[in-house]
Amino acid sequence: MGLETKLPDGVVLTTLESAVNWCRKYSVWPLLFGLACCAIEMMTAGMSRFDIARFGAEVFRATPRQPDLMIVAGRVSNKMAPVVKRLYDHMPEPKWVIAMGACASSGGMFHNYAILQGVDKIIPVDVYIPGCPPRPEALFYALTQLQQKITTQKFKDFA
Amino acid sequence: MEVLVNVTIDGQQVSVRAGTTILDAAKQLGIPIPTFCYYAKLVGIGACRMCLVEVEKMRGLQTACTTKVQEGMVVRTNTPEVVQTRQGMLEFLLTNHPLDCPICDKGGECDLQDQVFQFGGTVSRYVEEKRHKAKAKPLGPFVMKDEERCILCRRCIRFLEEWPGDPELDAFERGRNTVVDTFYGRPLTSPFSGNVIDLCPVGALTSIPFRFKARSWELKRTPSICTLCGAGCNLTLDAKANRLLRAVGRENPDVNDEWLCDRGRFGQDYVRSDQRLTSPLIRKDGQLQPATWDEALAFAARRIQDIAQTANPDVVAAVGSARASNEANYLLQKWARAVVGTNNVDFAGRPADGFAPLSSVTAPLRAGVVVLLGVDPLGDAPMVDLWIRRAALTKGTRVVAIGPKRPVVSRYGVWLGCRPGTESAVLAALLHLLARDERVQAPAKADLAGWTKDYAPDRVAEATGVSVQALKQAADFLAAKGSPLVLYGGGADLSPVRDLLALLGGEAGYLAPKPNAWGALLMGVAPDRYPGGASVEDAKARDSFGKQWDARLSPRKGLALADMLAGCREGIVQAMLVVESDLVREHPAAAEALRTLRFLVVVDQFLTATAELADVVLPSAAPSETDGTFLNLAKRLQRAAQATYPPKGVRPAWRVIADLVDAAQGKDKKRGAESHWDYETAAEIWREITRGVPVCRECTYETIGTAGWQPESAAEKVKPVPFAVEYPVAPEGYPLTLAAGQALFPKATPARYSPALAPVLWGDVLLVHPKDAEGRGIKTGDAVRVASARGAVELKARLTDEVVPGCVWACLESVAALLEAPDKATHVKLSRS
Amino acid sequence: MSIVNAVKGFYQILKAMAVTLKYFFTKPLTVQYPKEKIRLYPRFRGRHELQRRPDGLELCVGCGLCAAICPARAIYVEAAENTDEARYSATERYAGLYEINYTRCIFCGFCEEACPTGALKLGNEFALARASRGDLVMGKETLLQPATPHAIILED
Repeated sequence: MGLETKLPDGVVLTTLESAVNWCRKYSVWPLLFGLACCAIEMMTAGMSRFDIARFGAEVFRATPRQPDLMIVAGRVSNKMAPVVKRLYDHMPEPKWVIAMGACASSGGMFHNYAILQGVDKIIPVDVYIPGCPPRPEALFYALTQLQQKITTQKFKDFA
Repeated sequence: MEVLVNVTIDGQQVSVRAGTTILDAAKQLGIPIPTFCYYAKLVGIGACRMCLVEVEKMRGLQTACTTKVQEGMVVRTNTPEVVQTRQGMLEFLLTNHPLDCPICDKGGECDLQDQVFQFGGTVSRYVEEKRHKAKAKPLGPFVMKDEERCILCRRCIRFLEEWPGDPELDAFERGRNTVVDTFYGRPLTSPFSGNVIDLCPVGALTSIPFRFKARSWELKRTPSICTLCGAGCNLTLDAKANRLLRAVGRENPDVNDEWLCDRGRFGQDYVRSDQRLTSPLIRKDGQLQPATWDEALAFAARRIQDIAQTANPDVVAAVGSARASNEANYLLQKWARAVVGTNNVDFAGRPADGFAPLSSVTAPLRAGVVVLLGVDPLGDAPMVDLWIRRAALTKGTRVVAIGPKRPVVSRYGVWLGCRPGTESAVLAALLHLLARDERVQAPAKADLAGWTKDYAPDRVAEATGVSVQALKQAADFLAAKGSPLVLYGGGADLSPVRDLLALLGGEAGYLAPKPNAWGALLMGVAPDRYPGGASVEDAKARDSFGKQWDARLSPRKGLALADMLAGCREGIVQAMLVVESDLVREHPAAAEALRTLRFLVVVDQFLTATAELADVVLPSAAPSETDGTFLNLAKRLQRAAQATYPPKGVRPAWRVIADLVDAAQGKDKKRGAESHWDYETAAEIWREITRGVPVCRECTYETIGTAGWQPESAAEKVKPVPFAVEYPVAPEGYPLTLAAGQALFPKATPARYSPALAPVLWGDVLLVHPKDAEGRGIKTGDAVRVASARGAVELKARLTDEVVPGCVWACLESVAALLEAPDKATHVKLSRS
Repeated sequence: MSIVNAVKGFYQILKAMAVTLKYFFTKPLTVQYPKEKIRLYPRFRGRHELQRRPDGLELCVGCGLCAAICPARAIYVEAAENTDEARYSATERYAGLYEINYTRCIFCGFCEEACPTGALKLGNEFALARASRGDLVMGKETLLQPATPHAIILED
């Protein structure tokens, strides 16, 4: 091809978009919060046996100003929904959401007045993880799915 | 005086009427005895041996359902021997039962499951191969039989013998090879065959249309009523995932006991038909094309307004329906009167002046003789037919059928076959005989003897085609049994009926074939009456309704339906709103009249023959998809409850009318404009109705409940009246007379759209007497052309002696185009085509 | 005092660092999923697998008992009738529509216990995350497939 052939070894050409996406993909920092039992599995995911750091997502941030990813781990009660929504709104773009477990995805077995029937009723969800609760590996699978999604993102979507 | 006997059951004393069974006596004490073959509404036969009890001083155990109590009898229902025997009986039943509950439609509502759960043992000791018999064998179009599951309780056999009197099922072979089957493997044809499905305590007889559609526990059950005929049978509508899947009889001793006819049981699925309209249609370039609701409503409202303003409000007409609920009919006439300003409101099948409702659907039980005056209850109101059969079988009630076509129930009496339009003459001949019968004692006798002197049986026989012998037999039944129940249809002449009642007592009633004929009339869908029956010329009523509706009401009487249609051609009526009424298939000469209209709006569930002529078609919800009240042929007020939501894009008829008004007034609901047409639910309309209609004043949806509500009505004293009968004269070239009626499975809206009824629907068939066919070379199955002065249609001939010679019979919807007005005979000619 | 404390403190640090150093020389504990398979016990409950008879016919007869027992109401079954031309199961009836909504399912296994024909087994597939809710309503065509092995099943 054109320019690549003239370049010395070790130099790679890419678009800015892919480069930025590549960076983002390996530094998805989650927001540090959990809502119910799924949060236990989410915490487990940070432990050495599972080691979420392998995906660059170990940096759980306790403020919504810094993370890129919101893992909604647990059932969202109607009372909690405005809080979750506000946290999401406070997160800077680009941001992603994983609905972890049946309750966050659809309300799960809590088909009742108190539980929000899926967190996607209030915030846009990128990946849903079935399970009650899902294994940490299931969370990792979702993370890889999310990473794939990030690589295909375009700048103009954020403009 | 009734004799009481004292019995002791499980140590408790009770006095019951002599002749009571042990089972019923125990029921009075609240002692449960398990039963299987026993069914309260059928004669007990003690076939299943589940109800065995111990009776002191009797050898062995006795069946509680058949053993009558005796004075001083001591019964024990819970001894170890009884309990062990019950377990043994159930174990025996299960050895021959395939236990394929997971694939059985009865699973979850099965008596056998329940009883084994409650009274059975735990583990079966039967390890051998079970018996194998035929599975999934259809018995007729609706009932599927599984011989393996049958426990031979004979409920189905007994029902068909004891209620409709169609003994089509019986047990064949013997011992463990016994099977329930039809004779010679013929299909089950009883019009009430579906009831055996409900009766079967196991899954041996299941419904073919409902087969594998849902499990019983998945169904959302809504107590409602059937709206496919005038009887208004109570039923439960079962739906799964917003799809109406089946109808099951619901107990109401005043209407249908707990039975349903096959039309009502299987025909409800028309709401699932893929021919349902789901979007409004507007005629553009001669074609009906889908449009949005806003577009269609605005267009319809504007056009009607334009036509009413350029001419006068009386060029607009509104046609209600005996098929629509009270709420829809009320709003329709309110629209015509308060918004348009005309009294041109009417509907097809409006009970004529003087017509009376039946005292009850079960009225045949109280009659000595049922007189069918030109009607066949099997087509018009099948449940009335069942009650006639039941009365004939249990009380010896006789049937005198007068008319061109022989009804099935005439097997319990006599058929006076006569040419259409001469029914009154035949009745006059009967009066002639009765007035001269010494068994009849009535003050009116002398008068009638004089009035009927021209109607001697032999003279009437000559003029009408009836046989003198049959006339004499019918008069004999009437004189011997007395208290007749006269059922009449559309164009009946009531004078001779009154005379019959004056002679013999009894009652007479209009056999309304549509679910809400009386309701539509009560709601004021009539050119001369307001809701509740006040005349439009009554200034007080006009003021009161004018105030309630906030409008100036027209003091002129409107046009009746026949006049409206006649007026269409002359421009007297230019725009019409037709709600849930298929005029083209139900009313003589409607098609050509509607074609001449400037603007026609049709609200209906389907693209009916009438809707095809419309300029705007608005889809409406079926009775099972919205709330509504109906007044049945006995004027019993009942609620059809919402079982499912209407399909997307479909609104209930009452909402369509209300939206039409909003569109006309251009009111912006967001700005909270005050409107009399802001109805959120049908119940709100009903509350408004009760304010204007005194009969229903105390009545709310809650008090109607699931059982219905019947206002008290006082029996009026009948005075004899003189009468004169005109014999119809056939014009030159039209030698035959055409009679139209309704079949059990008519091709009328909405039954014609039911997928389950599709295989049994009455086709475009013409019944011809072999004598009439002979000269014309017509055989069964031939295509024939029937022509009257109004037009001609092609039908398939069927030769039968069910009709009188000189008369051909077809279903109303096939020949509506040929017919004259309901009180006139239609003369036709017949040829092979 | 302060010197003693300083020495003690230094000792504590050394002790702690020794622990760290010890793990520096042990084999890492981390399971490198997704590069390697994880180890699961056989009683782990993952995605449902509809079973077939040896002759290839489906075991499911569409009785709907799984849907009836399901606490999350995640299962929807609509039965249909076998014909001679199209035969899916050995009896008269088969599941015409069999759907499990995995956003609702809680993998409790009641359905497996309720199944009268042994047609329903919960397998070991756990990697079910999808980007849309629609993809998580899985029909017969998916459920009849055996799961892709993400795991090594241990002895119980």
